[in-house]
Amino acid sequence: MRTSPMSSRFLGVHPVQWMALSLVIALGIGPIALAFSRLWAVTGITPWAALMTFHEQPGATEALQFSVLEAAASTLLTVTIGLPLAWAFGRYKWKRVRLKRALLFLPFVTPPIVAAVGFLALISPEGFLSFFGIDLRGETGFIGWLAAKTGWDHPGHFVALVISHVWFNLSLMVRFVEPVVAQLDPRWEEQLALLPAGQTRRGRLQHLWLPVLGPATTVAAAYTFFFSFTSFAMVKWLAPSSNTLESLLGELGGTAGIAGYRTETSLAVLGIATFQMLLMLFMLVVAGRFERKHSQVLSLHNETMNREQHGPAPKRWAWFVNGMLLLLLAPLVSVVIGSFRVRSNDPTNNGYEWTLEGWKQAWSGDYSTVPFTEALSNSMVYAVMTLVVALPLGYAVATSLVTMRERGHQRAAGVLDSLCMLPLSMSAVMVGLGMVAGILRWFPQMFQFPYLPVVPHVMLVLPFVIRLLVPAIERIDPVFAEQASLLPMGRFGSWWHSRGAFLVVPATMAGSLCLAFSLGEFGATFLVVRVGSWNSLSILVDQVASRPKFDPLMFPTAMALATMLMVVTLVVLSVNERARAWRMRHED
Amino acid sequence: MKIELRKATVTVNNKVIFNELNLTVESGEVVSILGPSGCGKTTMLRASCGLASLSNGERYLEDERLDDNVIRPEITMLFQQPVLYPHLNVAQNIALGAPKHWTKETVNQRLQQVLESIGLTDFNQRSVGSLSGGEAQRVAFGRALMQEPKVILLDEPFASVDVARRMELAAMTRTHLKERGITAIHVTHDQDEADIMADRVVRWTDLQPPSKSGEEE
Repeated sequence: MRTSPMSSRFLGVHPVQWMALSLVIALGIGPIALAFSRLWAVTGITPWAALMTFHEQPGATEALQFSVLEAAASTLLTVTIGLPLAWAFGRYKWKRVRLKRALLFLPFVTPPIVAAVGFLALISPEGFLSFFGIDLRGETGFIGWLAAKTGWDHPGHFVALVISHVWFNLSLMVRFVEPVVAQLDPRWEEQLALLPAGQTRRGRLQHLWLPVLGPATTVAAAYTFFFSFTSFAMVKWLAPSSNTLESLLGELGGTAGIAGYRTETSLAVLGIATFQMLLMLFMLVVAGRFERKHSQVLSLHNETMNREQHGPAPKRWAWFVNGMLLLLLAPLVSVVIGSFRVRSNDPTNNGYEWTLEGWKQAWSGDYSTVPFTEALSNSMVYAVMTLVVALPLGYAVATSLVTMRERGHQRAAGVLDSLCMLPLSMSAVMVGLGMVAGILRWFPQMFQFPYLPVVPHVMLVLPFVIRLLVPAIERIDPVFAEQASLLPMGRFGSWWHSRGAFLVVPATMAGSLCLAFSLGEFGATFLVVRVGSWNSLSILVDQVASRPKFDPLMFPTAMALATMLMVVTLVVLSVNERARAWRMRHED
Repeated sequence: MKIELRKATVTVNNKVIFNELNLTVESGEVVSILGPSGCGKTTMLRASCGLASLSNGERYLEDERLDDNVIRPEITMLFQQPVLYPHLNVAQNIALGAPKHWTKETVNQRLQQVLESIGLTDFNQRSVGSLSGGEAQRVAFGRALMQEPKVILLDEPFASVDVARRMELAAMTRTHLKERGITAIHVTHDQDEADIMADRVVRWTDLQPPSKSGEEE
């Protein structure tokens, strides 16, 4: 004899699920709240009072100006290139469209440190751009002339940084805009073509494309601004003479929160962190409100039929899209090439030779860096632990939110959902700061805890896991559970057949996301592991690349490590793509 | 096994679905209830097996009063759209109905018998996604037979099948129910289907006091 779910649970949610919800919310808010209270305690100044001193903090105003400027330039250029790219890619029939789409999304899932050293290789005096006489690193030639004429400090660094941000965020633009173009009901365009307003290109833009693509483009632009504003690894490597607020926090954060030691640093961090957090919350709220206000119900059409109707892309569009795909691959290819090319004194080979020495060095390590295998095993341990903690926690939270909504507690579910998503409004360095100033300064014994980086990784990945699982659970027809309750099954069998089996694919996708994210994470790990604990692969790349380059093997070694990190991450992410493809095949 | 609803009322969001409904089905009897779509027939079946709560009234199985929401293994239900688990094949779906204490050999043996009796002998490895509406409903019925229930509730089980097949399936279902002495409540809006299936046909409006007929579902 069995009974249906008990109504005695609070808001329909089991106490164990409440514990998971509380833990996730505490994980999201706790470290950063503890960090603020620590900095407050050390400086004796409230966050609000510290905020008022923001303009007095060394480098803060310059960092704010630089952040706004580079984020605005990155956003403008991303929209200028990304919008036509997404439009053409969504509209026409392309050969190997799935492969091309995967390539377009590749930058967004590439570990930031890999992209940073990739761009470094690209803009170095021996890099791809030097063939065209463009020297963004040494700032000679045209860039040097520009700097001398305008008095602009390091324009080459700025341009390199903006290009790298465009490289990252083009994926975002394609992700938002391409589906709208690909699934747009063709009758809208056909009808407009028969009306006077649709006779000119301007009229079609004004009456069709702007209203249809405007909201998606604006949302993508808002997120591009947000991600460029909080850039860390790229700024650190491509614009070393400038700081964003994020990189300034990363620089100062390691020594903040120590009682009686460099109190001015703690004050600076408190002021800058308060400012950055309020600004980011404001930006996210505005972007979210805009997304909700302007999201529209479009009559969706079959993508394949639409592409068939428009046929293959005209030549100029084909050149544009394929050319962009090649450019997107350029930094990653540069990483691989850079790993084999070692500086030499032999003038017959243009001062370079092709060897495996960089790979050998990366494999064996040296007196000051760990070997590749050790860094990889550390990274894998972090990644697997992130998966083991985040997936069940995310599942428990997702089921709780779905149950609450099913039982009509929409408002409570909405509030709890927002609280669980809070880490999304924090940058990786802010999360790292939460760990250093919030946890380690209050509980220094945690320095001994070797798995410390797992905590920020779990914090950062949980919102994505929850976002993947909630709609997947909501899609399951409750009739499967009803049928299961009428069949002679045990508790596990009933759960498996009415829920578990339907979640294998989304859980696989969430799992591979956990692994890939943890493997590539740099900002939070950078703050946490440099104060103790083990090196991850992304930190090892940074460490090796930071060393003086009089040793000709340093650069190739860093590139070899970055190549290995890239390959491991891509292998993990290919599981995600396979699961996504499987789901699309079976749900069509 | 006799199943009974006494003065049963179901209210959802302050809306009365049915009111003071009385129904008694004797052991081994097949009763068809005729009523228009949306009158509350499905809710009545769901309340009979414990999937829905009674706001008032009582339900009995062989004169034993059942508490609200208690699901008894002797009762099963066939839904209007057959509920087959897409991650399992035909044989695995039917095997889900096997009582837990059966050995693997017994399950396999009974599975073959059931497949034979519903005319799907060669279908055991087939994916459920490839079945027609009628075949899917037969698999769901086979799984119900596998459970060896005492009471089956049939919620317009042939609605998604064309008319000719519907009559054939109704006749097949009745044969199996009578052979096994299973008590059944069958709801439909099709008079012909009810005539083929039932020992007794009851109109929905006759189950409730005239002044208290339920509103639209």
